[in-house]
Amino acid sequence: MSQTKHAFDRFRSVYPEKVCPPVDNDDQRREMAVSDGLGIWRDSLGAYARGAPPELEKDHPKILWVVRADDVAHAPERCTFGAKLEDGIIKHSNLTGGRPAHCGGQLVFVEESVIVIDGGSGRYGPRSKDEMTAVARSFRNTGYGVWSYGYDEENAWPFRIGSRLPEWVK
Amino acid sequence: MTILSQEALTRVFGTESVGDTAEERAATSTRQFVRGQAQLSPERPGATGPRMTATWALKQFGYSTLFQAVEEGAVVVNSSLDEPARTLREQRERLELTPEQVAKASGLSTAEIRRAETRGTISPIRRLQVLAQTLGLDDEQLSVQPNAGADQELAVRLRTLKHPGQEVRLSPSLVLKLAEAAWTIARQNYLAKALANNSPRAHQFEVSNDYGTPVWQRGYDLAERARHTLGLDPVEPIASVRTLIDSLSIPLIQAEMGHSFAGATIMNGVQRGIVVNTHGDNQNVWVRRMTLCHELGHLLWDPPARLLRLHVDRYDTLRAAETGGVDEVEARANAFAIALLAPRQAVIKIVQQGGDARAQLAELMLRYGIGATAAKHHLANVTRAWGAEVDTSGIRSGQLPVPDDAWQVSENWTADYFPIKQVPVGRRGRFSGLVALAVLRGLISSDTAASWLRVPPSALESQLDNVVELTARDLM
Repeated sequence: MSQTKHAFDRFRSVYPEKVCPPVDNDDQRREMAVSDGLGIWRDSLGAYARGAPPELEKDHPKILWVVRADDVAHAPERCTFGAKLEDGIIKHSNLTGGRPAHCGGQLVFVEESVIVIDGGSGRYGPRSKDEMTAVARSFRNTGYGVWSYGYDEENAWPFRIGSRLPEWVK
Repeated sequence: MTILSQEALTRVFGTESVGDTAEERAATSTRQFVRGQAQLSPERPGATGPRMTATWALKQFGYSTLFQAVEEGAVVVNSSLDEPARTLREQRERLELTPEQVAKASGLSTAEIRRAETRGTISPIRRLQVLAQTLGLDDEQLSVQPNAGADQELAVRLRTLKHPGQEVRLSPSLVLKLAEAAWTIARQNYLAKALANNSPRAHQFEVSNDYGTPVWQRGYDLAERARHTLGLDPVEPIASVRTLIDSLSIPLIQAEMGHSFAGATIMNGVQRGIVVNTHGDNQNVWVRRMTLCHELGHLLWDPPARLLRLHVDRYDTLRAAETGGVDEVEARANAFAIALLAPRQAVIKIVQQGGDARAQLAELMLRYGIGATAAKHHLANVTRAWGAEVDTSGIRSGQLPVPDDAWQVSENWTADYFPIKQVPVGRRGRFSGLVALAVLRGLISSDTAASWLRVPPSALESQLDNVVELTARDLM
């Protein structure tokens, strides 16, 4: 079993699926396929060093990720597929076809084996500090070095890219 | 769905909201928003940040930000990773203060100050807002706007007055009190405008560059002009200078300024106000009336270039001004003050009624609410110019009256009594009334009001009507 499957099966067992809220237009439900540029998360094969916290501003290009029933899908927010949609970008619901998912957010590759993630998904994002911590650790357990933006208790919502400096996930 | 469609407005402000514009919808919305240091979101259970009314959130962040917050669950509002750390640190350094000094004034710890000034870290927004208020920054725009509305020229002026060799030398503690007073003044001016209570009366005054000899005559003329402009009787006493200043929509902040300083005028275009010391000679209410009128003289009549954003008066300067031993700016302000309180014609009328010098002096003091030293000089000056100087030199202080309780009540007001004891003296008065009114009219939440009055929301909610009744009844 891959590290990815092991890590996220464990996550799924604790954090059930969230129903996708109603979408604003049909394009938001159009499901991306691998042929459209959809990525499926795989174990990291490389080594990594921690380095300094990445300093990303809020408008930094992002990759959307979603923990689906059987895998973890991801795709750049701005891509060829998204450009053809009514909004000009993809939403998390494009990774699920509008179906439920366990969790969602955004990530950026800092290096080949180091990522920074947040829980920035209005539809599927983590709903607690524990859930945010758990999903960040799940990504770490796939072999990546992970910086996480964590959870904003003042807003009861995950911190998003650009809001602060992320913290290294141990 | 477009961002300004009815559907979008309903999504942001709720189904109960009505209107065609974001402002109309916000005014009728029961929804609240909540903010942290870096993010704004719709109010939700479990969120620990302070709540904001829809109207206030709209004013501070704009509609597109609120829309984004609702659509995505939260929106990042800090302008960059540098904020608010950079703004807080730069303002503190601009004022040449240490973290320890700021900690003492704000009630926070030095570690909390240092953390707030560390780039990329997160502090509770309530703590940051206290810090912003202490440093004279716009606490609602902290993180959102670089510099958060800092009046850099005022800060430079405050810093300059800390240095040796200055005529008026401010301690770090006093610098911080004046910086915070500047925040209170700016916030009060904002609220007055937002609640449409900005009296146009203050704007009827144009500055005067006339400091010609004799400058006391210029001051007396300005006092007569002020009475006329304000529709005051030419000779009747002013029962309450505080009420007069309130009627001009000029913020009046009471602060403990030690025993050397009488008061200050802060002037920055629209942001202008008076700070009066509650300690020292001003504890005599008649002396305080003179101080208030002296600062009013600066604020109404002196060109901004003379005041340099901030003008601080020492007690010894005001005393010296009574005998003319000061520069023209102080001499004119002092002459204005005494003549505003006790017009020339009123003094002459008292003298014409007869009686000995002591009786005339006592009558002047009791009727017009002025202290012995000021009254003596005024009586002598007016009657000298009139051609029959009254000699008051032999009259001892013990022979003269002191203020009674009626004067104390009229001028002390919320310094003595306030329904919520925890509210600092500097946040009472008209400022508290405008804050309470803003809550009652749905402009701000009790969370926001509590931050501005430095009390827990629970202490405030049951006292809103009492606060308005005491401090802003005339605005209802």
